[in-house]
Amino acid sequence: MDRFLEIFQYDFLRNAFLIGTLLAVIIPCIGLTVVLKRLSMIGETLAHTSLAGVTLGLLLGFNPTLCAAVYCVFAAFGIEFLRKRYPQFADLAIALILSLGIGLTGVLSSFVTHAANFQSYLFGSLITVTPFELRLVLILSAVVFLLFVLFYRELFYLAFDESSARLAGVPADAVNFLFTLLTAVTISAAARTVGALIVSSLLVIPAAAAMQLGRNYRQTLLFAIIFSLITMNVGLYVSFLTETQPGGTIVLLQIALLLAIMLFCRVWKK
Amino acid sequence: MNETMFLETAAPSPTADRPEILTVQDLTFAYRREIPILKSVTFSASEGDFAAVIGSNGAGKSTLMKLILNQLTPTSGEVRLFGENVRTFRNWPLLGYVPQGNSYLNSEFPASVEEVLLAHQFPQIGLFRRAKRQHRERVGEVLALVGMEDFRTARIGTLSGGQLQRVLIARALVNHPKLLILDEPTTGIDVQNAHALYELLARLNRELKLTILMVTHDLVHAVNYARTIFCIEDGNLAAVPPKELEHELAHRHHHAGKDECEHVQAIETHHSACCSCTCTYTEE
Repeated sequence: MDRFLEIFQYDFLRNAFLIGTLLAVIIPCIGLTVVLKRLSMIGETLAHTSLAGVTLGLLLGFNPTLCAAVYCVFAAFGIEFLRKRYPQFADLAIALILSLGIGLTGVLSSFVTHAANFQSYLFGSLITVTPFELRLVLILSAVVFLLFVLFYRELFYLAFDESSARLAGVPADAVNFLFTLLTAVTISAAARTVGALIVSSLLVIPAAAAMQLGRNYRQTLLFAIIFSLITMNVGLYVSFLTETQPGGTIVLLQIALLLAIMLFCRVWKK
Repeated sequence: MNETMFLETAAPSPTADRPEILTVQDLTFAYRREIPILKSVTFSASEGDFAAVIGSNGAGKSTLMKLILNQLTPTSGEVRLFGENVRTFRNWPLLGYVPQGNSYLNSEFPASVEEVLLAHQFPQIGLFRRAKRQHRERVGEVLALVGMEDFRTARIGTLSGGQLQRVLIARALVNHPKLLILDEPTTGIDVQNAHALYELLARLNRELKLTILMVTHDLVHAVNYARTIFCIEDGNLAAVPPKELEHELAHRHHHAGKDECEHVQAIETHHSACCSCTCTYTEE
């Protein structure tokens, strides 16, 4: 019991839980839409390419999280641009941008002197988050959440049936543009804290689990957020107790819960 | 299928006194200039019409549909909706569109019927606003119109083909349109449900004075329910007097079981501009 409470005596741990909770709310909001639009690989691509932004930031002496956000936004629009060039091969655009990001990261990272620093972006590090980054994640999360709520119905409808949404007058191009921006921002904010290699799993797994349970969109979204909140907080806690990587711990926990839910649904529906 | 059904289709009133809702004028479309898909197509539908465009696969039906919905740019000619060129037309809520349901929607998508019908009320609700009671009531109204009021909370993926088609019709009606356009409304639906669906369309046409244009390869139902029939073949469109098709179908009925090709031949001799509509003639 003492050990249980001990964790909350440290500022940096309280911050970790605060950031984790904020991310646990916005990541499934973006993630469910990404999955339903069949763009799961875009999350993976943006997360990996955000590392190029991080290395650039480390090299040039700018804040790496901010650099990652800017680079992510450019990468996201790069994908949109290339997709129009190869309309029949949508996944090609994703592969091209991913290649560029990884190539850049590979070359630039050889100039980065603080290898440990760089590694904290790969797997994330909630405990080394600076106060500036805490504020940054706070603001970005608030903005993403607010915009998601404001465009809730439009985002839903564009994911469900884009051509009918256009006929109904939904400003599809503008909302899609905004969504690309939100995705890029969410991923770069999360990459610093939970790790670039893990963000896309956090986008996809809660959505996958919630889709097993939800009977409509709103319910599915709520399930995804609850699922994400539970696994994020329990995962963080376990990782401090066992001194394992938080990102990896959270993902393994999510996979375990997803399997349990799938099993439950199979048995229950019989 | 009996003779009285033909008699039930009311004679079209003169179109002169009714405003034209859809006008297609000398419409030509080609992806590559040398192979036109539509060749100078001209037809129109006036208020209260129930029109069908029939034709076999690859005749240009879906291209025509995309041009009417402004999803393609014509090579020459124009489409006018409510008197305005479709290229500059903005008042899309006046048009309700029912796509081919089963092939085009993701059945795994976690969305309820109500959520879809609320989302489609975008012109009524607007950006940044929550759906209000009147919008929820509207969902109930249109679902009652198509006989699906019990499926309000059903997940889209759990509906049968016929139910989904009704829900898509309800969605198309939710913004009080004046024109309803349907793309192959009975694809993947069994004969009985198809019948009920056409009855519903006839009722909407009669009671709501809704102008209906459907594109179909289902000649039998088109003849029974539509008052104006256009036949499209190799990019050419021609109006077919229903009388000729009725005659042809009666003939078919008489010789039921004979080779389809013979009937196609018969149609061709009946009307040279039309058509090898390889209509799915189903015995009932």
